[in-house]
Amino acid sequence: MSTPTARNDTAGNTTGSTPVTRDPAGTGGAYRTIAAVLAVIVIAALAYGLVQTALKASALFTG
Amino acid sequence: MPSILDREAIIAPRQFNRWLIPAAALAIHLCIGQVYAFSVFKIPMMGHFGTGDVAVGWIFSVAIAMLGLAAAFGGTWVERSGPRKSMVVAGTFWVAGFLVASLGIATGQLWLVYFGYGVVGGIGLGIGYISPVSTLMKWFPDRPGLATGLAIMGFGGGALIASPLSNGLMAFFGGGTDPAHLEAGLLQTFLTLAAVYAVVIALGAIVIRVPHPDWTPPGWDPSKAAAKPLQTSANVSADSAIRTPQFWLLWIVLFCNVTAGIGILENAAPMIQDYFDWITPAAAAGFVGLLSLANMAGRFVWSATSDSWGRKNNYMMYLGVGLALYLVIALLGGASVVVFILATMVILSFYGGGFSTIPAYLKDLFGVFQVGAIHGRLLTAWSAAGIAGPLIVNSVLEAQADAGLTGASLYSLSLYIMVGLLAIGFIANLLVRPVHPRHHVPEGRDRQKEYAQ
Repeated sequence: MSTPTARNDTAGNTTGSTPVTRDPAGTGGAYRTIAAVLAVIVIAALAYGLVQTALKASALFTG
Repeated sequence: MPSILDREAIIAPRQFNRWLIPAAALAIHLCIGQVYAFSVFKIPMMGHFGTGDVAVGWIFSVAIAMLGLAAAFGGTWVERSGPRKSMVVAGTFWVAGFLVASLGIATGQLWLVYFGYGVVGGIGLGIGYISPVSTLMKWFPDRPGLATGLAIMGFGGGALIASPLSNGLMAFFGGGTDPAHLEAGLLQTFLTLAAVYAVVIALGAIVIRVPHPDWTPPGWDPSKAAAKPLQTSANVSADSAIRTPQFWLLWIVLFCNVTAGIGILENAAPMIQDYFDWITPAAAAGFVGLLSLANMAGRFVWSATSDSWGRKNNYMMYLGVGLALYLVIALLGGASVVVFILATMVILSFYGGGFSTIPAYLKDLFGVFQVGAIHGRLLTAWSAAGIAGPLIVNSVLEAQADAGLTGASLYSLSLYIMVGLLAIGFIANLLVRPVHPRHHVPEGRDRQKEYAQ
């Protein structure tokens, strides 16, 4: 969260106004790692919930 | 200098990858969606507190009522404060709710569970539900339906995760799966869930970002989007929105759609067994699981399709086709179990779709400026439906049973009432027109306000 990157972000500037040359929000390496970990947690949790519910639902055809 | 919680501290650079944001939004919705799995605690709590079904059922009802109130009253604050601060506040309330409820379980004080999980946790639910929604729509102005579908699918997914997880934790801590063991594991389960939710919501708050004021998706032309029917590029404030007929028409639409869904959800297991007497309790529980999957899938699929079909057309489908399917169940449902299951699954997918499409519908009509606050106020329709739905269905069922009816005929009257409600919702949706320009916020003021706060 507090890992400012030094890269210039004007590359993606679509309007050409207000050039920004730093990343005050901190979206560098540490941020990307946390975001990736969170994505894995979310996907794994959803997969767990879906599989458990599908197993429960299968009782409709087997029970 | 802004605090790390403020909106100004989380403005992303212009080349930021927006696909990192849905995981942050899903993080909080997956956690607070646990509320729909509260029923797994019912029997252990009844044993622990030595009380009945109704007394424990009130915990869930208080939480849902607080959700609507917190979303309605906290919406403007959420919009002003930005997603990180509101996610942190929501997470704090949600986790504190679990901790206070744990104290109630440890000391045998049921009122502390009402206060903790119901009131404190319910405030976290309301703020948490709306906190990432408007941010996601700002990141996906080209596909707002997909964005809100992703987030609100998480609320449905939260219950799918929490239900088996809570059962597993209670069995693990209690040392077995029978009611006495589950009851013994109740306290540790609440504390474990509180810790897990604290970590996941904190990660979501760290990852969340708002788009740079000058950012637009590559290749997206706002003027083309605004040219679509019922989509405005203007903005309406939350205070003005509730003075428009469009807000109240959508309130009726959401109320009718949710009430109709509850009509099935509330009695799904006994209903399929009354329609088909050969269905076992285990198979009926499987049917409930199938409906949960349909509910969750509908949240994503229907909301995403609304980006191309148009929000109004989607609600025509939810309410119109839903009405027809209720009639099919009432008239033919008992003839075929396949027809019954398919019809109820589609109805439940429309129920989920109704929740996730409404923020994008609001954005189309009122703009993105204060859409979170407007969404919060509209969620009072959910609270009202949460009270009216079960009340209608259960009182009609009781009256029909008292009149000596059995089997499928027990449900006919309540199904026809749902058909009537869906017809009202259909007409309300049909009457929705673009908001009159006199309600629009002057151009430029909305943008200044949003980014100067």
